[in-house]
This record gives sequence, C-alpha cells and structure tokens, in this order.
Amino acid sequence: MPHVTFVHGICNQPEKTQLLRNWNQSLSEGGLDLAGAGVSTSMVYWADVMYPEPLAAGDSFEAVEGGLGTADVDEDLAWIDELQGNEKALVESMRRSLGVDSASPDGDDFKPEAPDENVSKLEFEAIPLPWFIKRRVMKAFLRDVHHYLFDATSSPRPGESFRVKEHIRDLFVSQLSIDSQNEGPHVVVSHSMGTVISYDCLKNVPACPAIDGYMTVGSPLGLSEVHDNYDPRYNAKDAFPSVGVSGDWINVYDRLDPVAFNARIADDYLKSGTEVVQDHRVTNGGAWRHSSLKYFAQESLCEHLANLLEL
Amino acid sequence: MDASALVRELERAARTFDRAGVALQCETLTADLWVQARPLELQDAKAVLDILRRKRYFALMIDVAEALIQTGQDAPRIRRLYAQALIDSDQTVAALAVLRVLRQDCEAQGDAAELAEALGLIGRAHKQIYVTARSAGSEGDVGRHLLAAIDSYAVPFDAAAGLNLWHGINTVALLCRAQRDNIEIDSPPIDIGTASKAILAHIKALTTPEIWDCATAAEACVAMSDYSQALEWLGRYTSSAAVDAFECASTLRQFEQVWQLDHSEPPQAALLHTLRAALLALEGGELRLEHALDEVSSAQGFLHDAGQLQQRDNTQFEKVFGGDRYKSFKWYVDGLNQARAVAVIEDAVGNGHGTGFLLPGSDVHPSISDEWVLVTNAHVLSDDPAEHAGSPSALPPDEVQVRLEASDTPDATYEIEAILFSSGRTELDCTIATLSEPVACEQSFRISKHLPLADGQQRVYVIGHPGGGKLSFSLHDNFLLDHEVPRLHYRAPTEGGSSGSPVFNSTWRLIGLHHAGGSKMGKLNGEAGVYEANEGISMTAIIEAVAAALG
Repeated sequence: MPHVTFVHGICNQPEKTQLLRNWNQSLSEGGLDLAGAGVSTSMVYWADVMYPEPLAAGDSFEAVEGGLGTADVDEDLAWIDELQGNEKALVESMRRSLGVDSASPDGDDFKPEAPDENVSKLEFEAIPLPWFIKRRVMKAFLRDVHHYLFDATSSPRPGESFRVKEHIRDLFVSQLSIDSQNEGPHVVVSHSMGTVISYDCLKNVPACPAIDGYMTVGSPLGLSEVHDNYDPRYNAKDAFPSVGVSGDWINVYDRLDPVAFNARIADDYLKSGTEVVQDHRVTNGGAWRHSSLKYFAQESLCEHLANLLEL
Repeated sequence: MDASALVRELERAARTFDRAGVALQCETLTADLWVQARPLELQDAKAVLDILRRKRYFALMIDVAEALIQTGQDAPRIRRLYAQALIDSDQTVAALAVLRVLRQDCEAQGDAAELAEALGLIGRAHKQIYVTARSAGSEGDVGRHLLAAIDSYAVPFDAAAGLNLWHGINTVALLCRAQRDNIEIDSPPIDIGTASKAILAHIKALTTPEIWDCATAAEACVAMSDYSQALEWLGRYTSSAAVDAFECASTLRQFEQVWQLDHSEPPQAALLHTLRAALLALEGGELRLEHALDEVSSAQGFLHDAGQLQQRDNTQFEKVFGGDRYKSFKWYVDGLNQARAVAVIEDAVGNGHGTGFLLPGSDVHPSISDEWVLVTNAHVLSDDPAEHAGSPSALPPDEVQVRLEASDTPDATYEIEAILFSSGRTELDCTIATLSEPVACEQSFRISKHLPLADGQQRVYVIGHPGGGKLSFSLHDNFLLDHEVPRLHYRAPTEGGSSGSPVFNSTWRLIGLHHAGGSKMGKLNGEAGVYEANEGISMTAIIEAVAAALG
C-alpha cells in the first residue's frame, strides 16, 4: 500500500487527527483522494513541542487572512538577546531578511530582495497581506527555525521540556520507521518549516529510513541562513539527500509566499553537481500564499504527488 | 420500554446503514407497543418516524405507524407521517383515505397548521397519480387528479400566503402543467404571474431563507422563465449542508416530472444538471438516466458553457458555481462520461440480461491490442455449459447482443466474436470477450492500482443497467465495507441485472467488477459473521489472472 508521511510547518496547528483530515481534504479538492486511491497517510506532528495546546476547533492558523490565529503567533523575541556569537549573528541576519523588525504599519521600511527573479518589485510590494500579520508569522518562523537548527530547549507546558531538534528528529525517524513497513511507494510531503525538518533528517540522520519520493511545499530551504546551518556542513553540489530519497524531489512554491524565500531551490540542492530537484510553481489565491491548504488544493501539486505515488 | 434508548439505537443503526439493526428496533418497538399500558408519547413516536423517513425506510415506517395508531397514538402528526410514507411507497389511494379523515378532524378541531399540511399531502398524492398516469401514456380522465391537486394546494396558500409558500409554488407549477397539457380550468385559484412574483418577493425579503425557500424561489423563477436566476437559487439550495439526498431527489423530480424541464434546452438543462450533480455527491442519492446519450452530451455542453462563463463574467460564475460547486459539477460530468463505456448485455430478442463494460484490450493484456474488449460476469456470459446450467444462468456467446446506451450509437448492437478469458462464478466470475466489429468507444476507464482504504469512510460507485433497464448510478449507502484479494464488499445496493457492472472509486477510477449481493454475505479477512453487502472482484486481481492465463 502506498503511503504519505506529512510534516506540518510553522506556528501552532489543530490537533493531529484534525490536521491530517484537513490536509487530506484539501488534496481531495485538488483531485487527489488519497484514501480513495488506497493510499494511507500519517503526520509527523511537532506543534506540541513548541505550543502548550493545539489550536481550538474552528480557530485556524490558515485563516490568517482574516487576522485569526495570529494572536498566539505574536512571539516575544527576547530569547534572541540571550544568544551569542555566530548563533546571534545568524539569527540577526535572518531577522533582517524576514523583515521582522520593520516598524511601519505597511512594512514600507522593509526592502526585501525579490524572492524570485521573475517577480517584479511592483508585484512583490503588491502582496496584500497585512504587514502586522506577516510580521507575526515571520517572528514565529524565526523562532521555529532557530530552535530547530540550534537544538534549543522548549518548555511548552509546565514540567515538560524538549531539546527541539533532537526530539523532532526522533519523532520524524520513528514515524518513518513505522510508515516504511508499507509496501510503498513511500512519499514524504512537508510544508514550510516541515521541509527543514524532513530535509535535515533525510540528509543528516543515518538511522532515518529511506523514502521513494519527496515533496517540499512552501519551503524556506532556499534561505542561505537555513542551509548554512546544517550539520554536517551544507555543500550545494552534493546537497540532494541521495541516501534518504531514492526517487524524485518535487519542490512546489508560490512566488508570493512570504516563507518560501528564494523559492526555486533546484540549484541549491544538486546531486553530484547536477540539478535534479524539480521546482514547480503554483499560484495560490488571496493574501496568505503560504497556506498549506491552498497549496494542497492545487491540481498540479496533486498530479505531481500522484506521480510520486505511482498512482 | 425505554423509548429514549430505543430512539438512540434506531438513530445509530440508521446512521450506519445497519438495515438489519433498524428492522430489529422497529420490530421490538411494535411488539412492545402492544404490551404498554399507554400509547407511546407523541414526541418519541414522531422521533422514530422522522428517523425512518430521513433514511427512506418507508415500509418500516408504515409498519410502525400502523402499530402506533392502532395502539392509540393517533395524533394528527402521526397520521400525517403515516400518509406521507404511504405516498412515498406509491400507495396513494390508501394515503388519500387516511388524509381525508385527517382533514375532517383538523377542520373540526380548528387545527390550521395540520390542516395545511394534510391538504398539501392530498395535493401531493393527486399530483403523483396524475404525473404517473401521464408518464404511462394514460388517455383516461386523469385530469381530475390534476384539478384536485390544484384545489388542495391552493386552499392553504390562499389562507396564509406568506406561510404556505410550498403550497403556493405547487399551485403555480400545476397550473403551468395544466396549460401545457391543455387542461382547461374554469376559474384558476391564482394568477400564475402574480403568485410567482409574490412568492419570489417574499423569499427575497427573508434575511436567511431556509433551503426549501431556495428551491421554491427557483421554481418561481422557472414559472417566469427566468432560468438564469433560477440557477442562482438552485446553487444556493444545492450548496446547503442541510440538503439530503431524499430532498434533492424530490426537487429533481419536481423539475423533471412536473415542470418537465427539457434537457435539450441549455438553460433548462442547467437546472437539471445542477441538481443531478448535487444528488450524485450526496450520501444515499440515486441517479437514473432516462436518455443516457442526450443527458451525457447535455452535461458536457453545460460544463463547457460554465467554463466560458467563468472567463466572461466571473461574478455571475461565482453566483452559480461558487464554492465547490464547479468542482462537484466537473466530477459529476466525469462520472457521466464513464457511462459511455458501460454496456447492456441483452439476449437475442433484446431483453436486458446484465451489464458489462468496455476496456482497451491492451489494458487487460499486452497481447490484445487495437481493440476494445467486453468485461462482464461469467454468470452473465460464458461458453461453459456449467454456467448455462447455473442459477442465474449465463447466456452463450451466440445468444448475446451488446449495446452501449450512452455512446454515440446507442442503437447499434454488437455480437460476441470470441471469449478470451473466463473464470467461473465461484472464482473471479469474469468473462472477457472480443466483439464482432470495431467499437468507436470514446471513454477509457482509468484503472486504479489499489483498492480504497477499508476504513469505513470510502465510497464506491456502481454504474449499470439494473434489471436490464436504464443506465443507473447506484449511490445508496455506497460505502466500501472491506476487501480481501480478490473480493471487495460494499453497501451500494444494486438490483438484479447489475451483474457485470464496473465499480469505481471516488475519482472514477475502475476498481472492480460487480458480481453479487446479499443480505447475509460472509465477512472478509477472517471476521466471523455476516452482513448485508454487495461483492465485487478486484480489477487488478482479474488482470493478474488474465496475465497468468494468457502468459
């Protein structure tokens, strides 16, 4: 039986079963009914490592366009003050790249590099996402990516404490160990920060079972601050996780997705010096282009996933 | 008797389509009613009948209502539900007898609300008799039923127009029907144009119209030949989560049988397709194609027009196809297209014997190229004398003719040239044959490599010719129950004659060949016990068997 292991992205999420149902439903809207096609699914759920409790029913981070769900992502960045050396320098660099500190209500004081060479400056500035919402999301992203890459400690609930990278790596590898017992093909589909986690495990964790196909969606893997901090050290010419991924890697992005910086990553993750990652652009509607549900409802994404699953 | 517990258990059984469980609860209830000192409380009696009505257990509803009334629970509401079940079971004469007494009682007691409902049902019974008789080509004096229906609907509408909109719109619909059928009415109770406008205005003024209001508004627009606005109202109606298959089917019947909308006229066909698409997607729905080819072509045309509208006027498009309606409509048309490759298998004189379907030969085995093959059950078509002697008996190849009702040549018949593969009814129950002349089939099924997950949530769809009749999509209670190679069990109840039908998953990929059904089917995967189920044979298992046989 084919199987898809999902890995969710930044910010808090609904509880695991609901999140899995939401993602399957979106894929179904895009024309890919995984259960109907005999494909089982599972979720590497790590939101509870960072947040005390799941989003309540009816409260969805995906509804960020309406300003909902942003209250609990307005992170306090005081933790940055305690960093030192290279770690602090890197976080400050990323902070600038993400425009976290822009003060003006409309983000006018943030002059980002165009996230994609095909996006005109005018087009990029026309992103209708309210800046205060975007800034909150970027803060959450900054925290998640830092805590993971530098294996920081998270204490989401009284008495519970996690080494973030170590624990999430364990979650990922454990889930893949279960899922890889299916006949296959076995595909990992990760979104947002989930792509950083899945890539790190598939590339850098020897105990991680290999998969047959890999899909990254709305990924920040193109950020130099991300790939410069992998351990072992990132080398673009051999960055493809050849041991962990036996088949294709499809990277799906929306060029106006504020998290998918440098959205086209094929030239950042070469396989023996050759471009093999397939970058695939989609256009999500509305203001919040990073929405996993919007990505999964894209027919072309569904077609690529169906191909990875050999349906 | 713990009535609350019984209602809860009945609700559970009905929700999970546990027919045997529903029947058992009803049996227990009727037995208990006779030993109770007092009649069942009205609230509990109503709850039981409502559950049975929602899930269309009309025969059980009649049995329970009989017992309730006989044991003293004969409140107007119960008698009305009883009459409703009789009408839904086509026992209209019996229903009218019940309703006449109910009407008199309501008049005597001054119960205006129940009187309006009783009159509405009397109108519905007469309407049904009239429509059925006309459809059967009756030349007798059936016009009196139409007049009786109009009278019954008009009275409550006239008494309280703002409250009894469904009576009003039925009066309008039947007056229009009378005009089309040249039935003269001396003094019409209402003016069609005035009443239609008033009904529509009333609904437009509502802050949050109920779903029935939306259907009524659509009918009012049809009465005014404003099909575009009717489509918008139907869009609101079909996108409501409150609409179930039974209600949707009732609305479709009203547009087909009373309004007689023409599927060859695009503006009218659009209304029918919108309702059919919604019905096909609803749990428990049923769709039967009276004119398969025309309806498939018409739906394709409507889909094309919808695409054009999207490019030309996105605002209007959103009104009609907003949300997921466009996607569900595409899915519906995709489903209709599958019907093009579904064949009725007839005996030498044209009597329907079973169903089959065409596949490109190369999909079945690489050695069969450049021709379509017919796939059906061995108990439908076989050259094995043991299959001819079996019950039901298979037809030999030289006594079979094949027609593709939804193809471009629905009247063309094909003979069997040769049987390439056959596996008996106790094994894969499959025959694969070539046809005597080339077939111009435009639809090629996509075969799913895997069966859907057996998690109790997956639906399957069977397209066939039940009873050898019209093409039908079987959608009742169509959940996949379980599978164990090569068999799959599902609840879609198919009538006799559906043998040999293709079974599809939710995205119209072929997963199996339907071959049997029964109320006591043994469970799969080593589970003890039996259940009501249909059984299909996995298509991939058949293809593997063909590969093993042909090399």
